[in-house]
Amino acid sequence: MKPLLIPALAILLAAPLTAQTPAAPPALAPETAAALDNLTGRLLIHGQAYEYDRQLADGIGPRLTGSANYVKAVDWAVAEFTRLGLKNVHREPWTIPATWEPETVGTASILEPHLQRLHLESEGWSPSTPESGIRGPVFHLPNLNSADAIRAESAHIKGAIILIDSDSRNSGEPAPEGVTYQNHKLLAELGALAILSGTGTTQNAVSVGGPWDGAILPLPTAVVGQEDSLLLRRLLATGPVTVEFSFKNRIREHVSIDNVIADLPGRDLPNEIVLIGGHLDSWHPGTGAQDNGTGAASVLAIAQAVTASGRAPRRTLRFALFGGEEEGLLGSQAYTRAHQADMPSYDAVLITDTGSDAPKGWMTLGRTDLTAALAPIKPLLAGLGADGISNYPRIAFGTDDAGFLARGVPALVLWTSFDKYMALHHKPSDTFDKVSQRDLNLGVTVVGLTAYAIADSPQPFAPHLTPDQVEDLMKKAKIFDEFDDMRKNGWLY
Amino acid sequence: MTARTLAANLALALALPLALAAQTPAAQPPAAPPPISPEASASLDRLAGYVMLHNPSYEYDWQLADDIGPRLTASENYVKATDWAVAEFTRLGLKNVHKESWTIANSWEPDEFASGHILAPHQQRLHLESEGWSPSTPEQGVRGDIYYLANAGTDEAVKAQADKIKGKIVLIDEASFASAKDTPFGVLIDRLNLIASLGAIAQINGMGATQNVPSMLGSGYSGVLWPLPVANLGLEDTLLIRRLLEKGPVTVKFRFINAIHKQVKVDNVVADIPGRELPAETVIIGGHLDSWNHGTGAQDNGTGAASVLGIAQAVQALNHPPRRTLRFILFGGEEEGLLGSHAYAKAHEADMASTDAVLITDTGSEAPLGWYPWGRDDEAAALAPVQPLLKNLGSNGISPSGEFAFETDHADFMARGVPTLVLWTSIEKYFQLHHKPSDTFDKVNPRDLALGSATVAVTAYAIAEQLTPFAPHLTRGQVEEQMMKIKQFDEYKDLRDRGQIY
Repeated sequence: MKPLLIPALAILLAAPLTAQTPAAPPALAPETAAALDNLTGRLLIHGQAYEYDRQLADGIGPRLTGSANYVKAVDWAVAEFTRLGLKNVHREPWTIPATWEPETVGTASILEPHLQRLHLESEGWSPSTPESGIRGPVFHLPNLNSADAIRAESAHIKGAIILIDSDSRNSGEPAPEGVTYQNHKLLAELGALAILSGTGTTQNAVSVGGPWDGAILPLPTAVVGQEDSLLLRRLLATGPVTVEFSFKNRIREHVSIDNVIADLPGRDLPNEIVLIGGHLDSWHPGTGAQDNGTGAASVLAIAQAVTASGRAPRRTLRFALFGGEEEGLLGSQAYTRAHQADMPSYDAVLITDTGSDAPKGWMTLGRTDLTAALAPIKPLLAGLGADGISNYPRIAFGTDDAGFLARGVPALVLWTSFDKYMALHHKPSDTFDKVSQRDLNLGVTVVGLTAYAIADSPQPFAPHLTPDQVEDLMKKAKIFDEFDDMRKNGWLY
Repeated sequence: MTARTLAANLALALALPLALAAQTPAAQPPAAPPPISPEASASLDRLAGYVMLHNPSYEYDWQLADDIGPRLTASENYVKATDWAVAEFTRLGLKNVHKESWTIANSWEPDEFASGHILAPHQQRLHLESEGWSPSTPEQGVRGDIYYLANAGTDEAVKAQADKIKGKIVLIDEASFASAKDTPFGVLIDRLNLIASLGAIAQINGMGATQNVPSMLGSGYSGVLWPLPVANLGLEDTLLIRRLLEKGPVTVKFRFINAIHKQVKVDNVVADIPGRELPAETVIIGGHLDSWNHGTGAQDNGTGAASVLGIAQAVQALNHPPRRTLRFILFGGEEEGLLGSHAYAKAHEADMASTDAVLITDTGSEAPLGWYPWGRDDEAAALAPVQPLLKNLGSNGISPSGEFAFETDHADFMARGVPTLVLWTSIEKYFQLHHKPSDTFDKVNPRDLALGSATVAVTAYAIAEQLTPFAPHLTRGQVEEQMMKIKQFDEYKDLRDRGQIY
């Protein structure tokens, strides 16, 4: 999942809201119900999601978009979809402005008031520092969210290394992603030397983030561990602080990246599509076992189980593994742009990208008609503990549903417990040992049976929204500013 | 689960995590058992899918716990529950649905609210209830000074306190039996009876839980009444009395009236899904239907009884019975000493040889971890083909523990050498609810219950479908070795000598 600049706690607080059903959708056909029992058993008793995630996380390793490991993962997924007997298995390329990989480990020290090592790594998609490193005074930016507040600090910013931490982000009104992006550029214009992002976590470990559009960041940007970040703040309270740091990154421009697509053609309505997707790329400090090894593995495991069940649903199930999610949902955006004309034939899009904690249900992004359309399978999800509905709106632009959502396609994102998600998110601890086999497979089952039920229904899942209706939805969910900002930046269409 | 050990809940709660830590089978399979056939595998998928998506166990437990309520053996509610189960097995189309009756020495139910007070050193209400299978107090109640039996570790220790016990209300708690952890349950029961024979006028079991609520210990054996009126006192009141006793004498009074009937007929409920090819061979899926009275027995053992029915429903929906007969049994009198299963095994002595395996579910509704095979490596090895199918459910573990070997309804079968398995679950909250007012339906987690039922269903069906028998029946000598291995020989021998098993 791509981080948004909002506290993770908000996700935990998002209460399950049960929408009122306007008119009851038809009950499941007996044949569909029997197929769902069978599919559920296949996923729970013989499901391979855990094994797929192990292969991805331990066998292939971290999968930075465009890296050799990412390409390996693409090859592996193509081979597996083919082996399973899916149709139309292919890669769909798109171009990322830049790929990025660390070439050296970050080294850093406090030089004054005393000499001390800093725990620091390059932020994702940061340019390298000069060979000799970057050296300068630290300035803690009190407010990152307003251009005026930043300009007011111009004198301090020029020639300084700018420390940005949660206090900087939480001052003033929370800004849409694009504004934060512009404000980072502004720091470069005002002559800042570099940025120190105090977004690390405890044990002085890093928690990386990245660009908004797959382009290299305007300034050398480092992530510093939490304890070091707090130390810098304390030292700054008593006097000037000078630091030095250095890292080298391998950057290539305009690189072709592949999404992976595979189909299980529909029995009756092969031209109508229910898409099950998740991103294949990951960050590099861990192995992306949770983000999004579990989601990518789920996509493959469902393909395996439905194929083995021998009964394709009415509509085509399309399995999609996207790249570039961590750099701005790039793979799914490229996909929705390339398939713009086909969007009316997409009955629903189901995205899995919330880790391996136990499933709770679906995030319907404020669309109460989706909640109503899920009613026939809600009783079946109760035994999996996943009959809940979350209207948590900010997920809208947090993963690969965004491009579909903006085009009015009914989109669902798997809702899971978040007990350990943020403790691992983009950190060195996002490794296979954290994955609960039971919880992962419960989540896989929820996605598989929901997708199958939608694809096997005699009628469409839910209407497609007009552009006006999409705007209304965004307003109702109080995310219109974010939506509008992304739209204006060209990140959605 | 019964509460056989007087060393009680805390010790149990502390003991089990050790079992959790060591969950791999001790022995390597000597020869690999045959794999699950593709046809069986397909049936297991459908069966597990049905259990998880329709979760019939959850609905059944709801009906048992909320609609029927607490089910003290032989109570009106218990009888209602047997009628309900017979009707449901019949509706589901099972064969040979019937009741099998046996006789309990006494039925027992509270008739009037218990009341209790400290009279000296000051007046204060006590939170107490009648212990299960206690006789009523006299109409005017019992009144006397408390003697705290700090050490009941041996008969000699108790006898040494005879002059202090005589004429007193004797308070015992977990600490009284701290040094008697490995003493067979029957010996402890005898020791409690010894207190009566030394002239105590009543007894207080200070075994209640926090919030001053009762936690039932239950009857001695076979539904025999305690020799004295015995109260079950809340934890905080127990600790208060012990503190007061440090400063001087404590006088209390309590009263309760129980409805007691002698020699009452109790029914087990039995129902079959006849085997496709080997109908004379049986795999039993069982659990007890009775409960204690303070909660509604939603966990102990509503979840187990509901699983038995839920699995019957799921196998019927599959419409493809396994090779061997699946026999579904709901037992009564478990809480009074595994009486229903003992009566069943005794009555069906001749059928034991054709009983391929007995699977019991009685460990609550928390997430399943696997199975207790009670130290039998041959059973663990025989489970090897099933275990990969349980991995995604989180229940592919094998517990090496013998801790609860005589605490539920497999015991009599196990003692007769029949291969037995008891569902092993997490017990994070089990003992907070066990035999207490909090054992109610709100505590039941639908997902965890479904996962447990799926584990039992998949395992039982796989065993009943295999071409070869599950595991050998043990000779008496082999059973004795098994008991020694899991450190349960003393308990086993004591129960056997008393005729409580066999």
